[in-house]
Amino acid sequence: MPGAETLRVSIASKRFGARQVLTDLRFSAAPGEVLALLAPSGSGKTTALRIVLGLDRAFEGEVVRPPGPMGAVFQDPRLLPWLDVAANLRLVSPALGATDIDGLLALVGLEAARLRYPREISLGMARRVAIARALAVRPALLVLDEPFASLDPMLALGLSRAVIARARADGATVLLASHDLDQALAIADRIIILGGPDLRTNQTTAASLRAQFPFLSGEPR
Amino acid sequence: MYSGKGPSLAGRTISRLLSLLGLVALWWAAAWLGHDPGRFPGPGAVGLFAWHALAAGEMLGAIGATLGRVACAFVVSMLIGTAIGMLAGRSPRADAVIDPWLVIALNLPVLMVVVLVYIWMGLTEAAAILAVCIAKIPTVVVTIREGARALDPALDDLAQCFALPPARRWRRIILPQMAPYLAAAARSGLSVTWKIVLIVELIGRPDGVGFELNLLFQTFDVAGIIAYGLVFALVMLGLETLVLQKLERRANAWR
Repeated sequence: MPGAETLRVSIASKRFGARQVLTDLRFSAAPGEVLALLAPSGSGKTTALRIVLGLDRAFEGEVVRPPGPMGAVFQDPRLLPWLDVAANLRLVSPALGATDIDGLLALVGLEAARLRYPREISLGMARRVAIARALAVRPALLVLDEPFASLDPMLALGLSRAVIARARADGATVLLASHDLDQALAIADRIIILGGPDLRTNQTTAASLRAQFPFLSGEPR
Repeated sequence: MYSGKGPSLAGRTISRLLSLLGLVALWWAAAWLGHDPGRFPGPGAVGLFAWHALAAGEMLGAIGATLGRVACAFVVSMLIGTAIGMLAGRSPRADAVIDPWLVIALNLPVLMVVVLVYIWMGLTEAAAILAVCIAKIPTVVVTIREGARALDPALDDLAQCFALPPARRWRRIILPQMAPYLAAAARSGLSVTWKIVLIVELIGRPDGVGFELNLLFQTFDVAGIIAYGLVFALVMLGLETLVLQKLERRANAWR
């Protein structure tokens, strides 16, 4: 029997006009658990995440979110260009002190970017600020849409582990969309594969994927 | 040698000054050739009138009364126009209701509005301000509606995800995006407002620049008419440059 703080997602159907995007996608995740939605680009990952975040309510099904704040990292960083990096973090969590901000920025390797404006930093840096912003609210549910894409692979691995460790420490349920199997295997407890041309959904585990694809580089937890 | 660059700031300022001086010279020459200082006075006569009127205090009093009406009508128009414009820009259903009214309001002759409001409400201060607002609000609505339509939905999503309280959402997300449109509405708003205020005063107020213009018209005092018009236009130009452009620059500083 799942607890009240369990994320429960049950999307029977989501369509845009005549186009069926998601069919029968069901999963749940407990606090501290990291779930990856794995699929090639354009197969409905972002749509599924928008539904989970409550940004898209035009679907058949039901989503029960864990109570508490939500943190989201979108595919684009969505920093406010008129606020500096520190103010972008305070936007979602005004109570943050200077040391909190330094800690969050250190976690994503951007200690020096505190007072810079989004136009003064690279896209990769802006994405990392967006990750720090999502962690700033100490989310009960952390939703990450391809958060480590376009970062160099070594940096991405280290950063993703640090971010996941921090989220777990805060007791967050983490839902991550990725098209990168290696990355999903490296950080997720469970992986849900979306898609295939017939748009059916099937669920499997990281362990069985590893058994199927022994050449993958992800380490077991 | 051609340097490939435009003229320097100093060069441009000199060109502008020379151009203005040219205009005054042309005016002076036309007045001299016209030989009719009563109907077409030169810059000297106009300047002298302005000097005396300013020194006597009557011009300052008139300008003060007009500025008060401009400020009042401007603030009310901006507040109401912004509220309606935001509503129309954010809700297509509200826009469907508001848009036909807007099309009609934008095409009402200002003079008709002023006359009707005076007939219905009497020659009162409230009627004067209301008439200016009716003429002004639609143009504010159009500009603000444009801005509200251009608000980035991705930032709405951000605010919703992080459950930002309404006050913070307005202050940090919506207002900075609206700032250029608010500045544009304010700037065009001010220049339209003071011109309408003069009409309102000319028809039905006992003081102000418009009232003075009416008196001067009755005595065919052309020097006075030009002096009042020019001095007041200069005051408004100064206000626009000093206050509104500074605000506009501050709102856009992050760019």
